[in-house]
Amino acid sequence: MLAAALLLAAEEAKKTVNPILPVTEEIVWAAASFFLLWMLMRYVFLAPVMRVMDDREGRLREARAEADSASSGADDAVAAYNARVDVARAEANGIVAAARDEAERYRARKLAEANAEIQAQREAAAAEVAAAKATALAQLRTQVAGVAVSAASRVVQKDLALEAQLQVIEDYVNGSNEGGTR
Amino acid sequence: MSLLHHAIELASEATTTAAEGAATTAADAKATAGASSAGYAYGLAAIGPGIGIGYLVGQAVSAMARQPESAGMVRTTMFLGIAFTEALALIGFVVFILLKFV
Amino acid sequence: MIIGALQFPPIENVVEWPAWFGEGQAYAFNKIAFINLLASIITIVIFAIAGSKKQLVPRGVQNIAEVSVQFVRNEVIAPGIGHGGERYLPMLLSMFFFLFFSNITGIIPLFNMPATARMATPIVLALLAWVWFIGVGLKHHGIHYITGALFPPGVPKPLYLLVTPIEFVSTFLVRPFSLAVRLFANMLAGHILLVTFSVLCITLWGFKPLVAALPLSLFMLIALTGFEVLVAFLQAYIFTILTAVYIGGALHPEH
Repeated sequence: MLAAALLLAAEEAKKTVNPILPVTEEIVWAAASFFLLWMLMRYVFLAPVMRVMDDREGRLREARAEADSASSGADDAVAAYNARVDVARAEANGIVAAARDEAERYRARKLAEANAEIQAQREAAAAEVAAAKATALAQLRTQVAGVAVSAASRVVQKDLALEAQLQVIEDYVNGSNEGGTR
Repeated sequence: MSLLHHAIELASEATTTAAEGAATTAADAKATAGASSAGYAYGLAAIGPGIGIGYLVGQAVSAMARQPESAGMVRTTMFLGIAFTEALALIGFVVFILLKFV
Repeated sequence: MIIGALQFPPIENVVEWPAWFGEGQAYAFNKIAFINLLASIITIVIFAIAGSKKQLVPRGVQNIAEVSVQFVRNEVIAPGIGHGGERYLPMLLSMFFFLFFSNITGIIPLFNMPATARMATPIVLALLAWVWFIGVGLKHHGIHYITGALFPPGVPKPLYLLVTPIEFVSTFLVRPFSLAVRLFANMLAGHILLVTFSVLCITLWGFKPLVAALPLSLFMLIALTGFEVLVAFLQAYIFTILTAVYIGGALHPEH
């Protein structure tokens, strides 16, 4: 039924025009509608929308410029702060250096003092040693002389005057000393 | 909807004309030849643009993958290229319509 | 006749519409004319509402209007015309909306017919674009536009014998027709696809042995409807940007 109807419709449609070609009344209406739209958009309806958009864009640009200036102000503040920090750091460095110098000087002084003290003690000790050595030598010399005199008195079988012999030994030692050095 | 309407309207008249049949053999032969050549016409017309659009879109995708920052420009150019390439297939389609229905 | 056999309706039945009034006159008003008029009116209403609201943060209709203005500015005028293209915004925007609404009726129930599947709307806009870009070329470059297009510089003299006819045909003859045919054929093809699957669905519904195949056909119909939304947008966009490219070529012929 449907198929037959469609076939019949096809037979009828043979009379109608090519489906590709435009039809006059549709051209008329399409052109009229589009020109209506175009002219109304061109002269009436697009302008307010564009104005709103431009306003918004302008406002955005302003806000952005403001934000830029604010951020550049913040940058300045940061730079000033950094400069102050640098100054303070330099100052602190100077103080530390001065303190270090002071400590160095103090150390050097203390070291010199200690060295001098050590030197003095060493000298005193050396003098003491020398004095002790001299005393011991002197003691040794009298005892050696005593022993020599008593030995000699045994040899000669008579008491020898210790004093006189001591003088003799002294002379001899002095003489042999002179001879030794010669 | 309107199509059905049309069909129902015509169906009432259809019973009378069912027997007319074989009178229009020449026209039928022409319609048959037109229909089959319409198929060939569109099939042949679709080959070239099919290859062309595939190649074009593939190249556009690789360009976009290589440089994602210029994807917008590539996409616009791709659509333009598709439009130009597709025109051939569409002319084939118009020829199909002309052969089949006119 | 086999009852239930698939019969595609004659093409006239799916693209031609009877006049609502003024039958036989040049102002005969049918569905296509109604869709065209409606496309204009919807666009005007959108922009009238958007223009009457001046919210800082756009919402609803205002958002649609502003997004479309941005779209035409950034995606059509910027790549197509380049600098100096802002002047053509009203025309290109009108063109985009007019074509989009004329295309989208192809999938809107009760319309089910894209106005651009008839040759009238595409050919009117394509001829307008043709007149417009030649006018822009003549206005900005005088007769040098025509001579520059027909005799491109840097070509050896004898080759003009070959190049000039090709340039003439491709620039001044083929452009409006390729523009119109591209849009028309795309929308007609989509319309015929939808009609085909609708007819298939109806036929399967009445033909018991194969009624199990109905869901497949229905699924294809739904998928193609979704695809047609994309096509409606894309074809409006391509038509608009090609017009912009032609105008840009006339405005800056050195590129």
